[in-house]
Amino acid sequence: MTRILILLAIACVLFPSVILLSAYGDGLASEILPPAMIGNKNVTLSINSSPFLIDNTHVGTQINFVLQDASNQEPFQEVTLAVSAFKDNQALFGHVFMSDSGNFLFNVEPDNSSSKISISEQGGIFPGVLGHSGSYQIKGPVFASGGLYKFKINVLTMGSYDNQISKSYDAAISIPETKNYTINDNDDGKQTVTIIAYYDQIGNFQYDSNKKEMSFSMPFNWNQDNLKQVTVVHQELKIPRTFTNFIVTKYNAHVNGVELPDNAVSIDDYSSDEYRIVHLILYKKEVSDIAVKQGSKPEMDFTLSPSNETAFPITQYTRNAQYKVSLSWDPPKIISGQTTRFSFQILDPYLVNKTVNSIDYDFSIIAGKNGLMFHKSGATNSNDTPNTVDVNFPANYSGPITIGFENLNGNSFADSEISGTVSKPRIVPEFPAGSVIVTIAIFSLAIIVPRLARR
Amino acid sequence: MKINRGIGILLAGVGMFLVGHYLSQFVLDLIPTVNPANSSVIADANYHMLSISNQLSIISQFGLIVMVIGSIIFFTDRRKKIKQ
Repeated sequence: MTRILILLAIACVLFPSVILLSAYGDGLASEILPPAMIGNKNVTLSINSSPFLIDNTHVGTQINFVLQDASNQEPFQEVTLAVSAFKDNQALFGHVFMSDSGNFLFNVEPDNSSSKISISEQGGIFPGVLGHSGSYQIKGPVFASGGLYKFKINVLTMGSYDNQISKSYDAAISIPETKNYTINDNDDGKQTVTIIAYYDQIGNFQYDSNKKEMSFSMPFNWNQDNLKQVTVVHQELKIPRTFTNFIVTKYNAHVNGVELPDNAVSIDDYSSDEYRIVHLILYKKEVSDIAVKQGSKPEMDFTLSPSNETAFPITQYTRNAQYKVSLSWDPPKIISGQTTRFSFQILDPYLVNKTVNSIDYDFSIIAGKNGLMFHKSGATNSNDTPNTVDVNFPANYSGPITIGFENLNGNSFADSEISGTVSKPRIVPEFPAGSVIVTIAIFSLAIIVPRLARR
Repeated sequence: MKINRGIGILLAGVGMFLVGHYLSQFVLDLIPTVNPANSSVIADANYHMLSISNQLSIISQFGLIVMVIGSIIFFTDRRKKIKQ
């Protein structure tokens, strides 16, 4: 017993503990963790995952770790990493990986038929015997779905397999996941909204047709350590252009009841002809602000609804960035069968609110994307007063429209398109005929019935 | 039973290769990948287990060399026998 104790004491003296350091990273498909000093080396760990999206054709994911010198981006030789992977606070796998080159490549093959995860080294004639290529195959029920995958990475050796290191990294990879939701709107009928969640998996999607509000939830850890790591939380909503109630100039978006600032909600009408894409992008500042205001929910509850306000003027760069178009219309809600006045200015893209000299323009209103409804060619005013165009919308059309500016100053590349919606007029009876008839009937009965009863 | 010395060396090499490789992987799999309290004792233990795994891996590499030597000896002995 005494000998064992002496041996233990000698072992403690010979192998003193090393300083334990940790660094954090989080939430993107690719990132380089902040550099940290290990000995006299400035070391970073870069993480990448591919493919970027997990969809129905997904067959596997590749994860790449490189422990590199921050000064010259060269990987360290003979690196050993102890990697543990987690999702939704559940451990997926843990294994020690070795690479002679310092470059690690994990080929993850999702296999839901088995509950076991097998990890095998690949490369060379005798993988793992005549050197370590750093290439591993991981097979099992992992990476079959998108979401936030967290890794605890301990660097055990670096530079040589005999060079002991103890450096831990907390990293995470977000694998975006696309989900389609079919909703039923009172006015626009069945619509399919697609949400691409770039941070973690979302769920509990609901649509309230009366309130015109979409809501969904995403797990989120609001503790300070996690808030330090999060760089961005991004949700992308693809809203069909036929969903006219949601094709508006401004949205009200909330997270856990906290209203998001206008700059956190961006509208993309360019990328798709069929969809309007709404991005909810929360950077570190917005997430920190919400953290202060929100309660203690372990999630982010998103809501999105069309705003009653209009975000006029709508400003947009032309395709060739030569001009900036500033557009507004009155009344703010375009109604079929009524005249709407469009006011616009063509601005200098580099100066604030500076209109350009008089230039030629083509102004068009297109039903949907193809059916020309209105066209006007002209020249803009030479002073700062807005140009106005009155458009009488046909009574038989309601739905999405595209307001197009083309051939600005004769340049076919100087064009811009802005989406809008023509709504059906709400028919409210000016004289409540129904209630008058009911009232007359009740009074008549009140007079006639007693008289009949007397007889 | 008399075994040709070449085959004996070859078998010893195969044994070194298989046992070395198996034990190397076995020790590697025993290393805990999570060190929740950042314990230096666990970090040291991890390193020493890794060292043992590397040494066992070296044994398996030597096993390959021994297998090659065994094969050379086997064929040299056979050639000598044929000549005699």
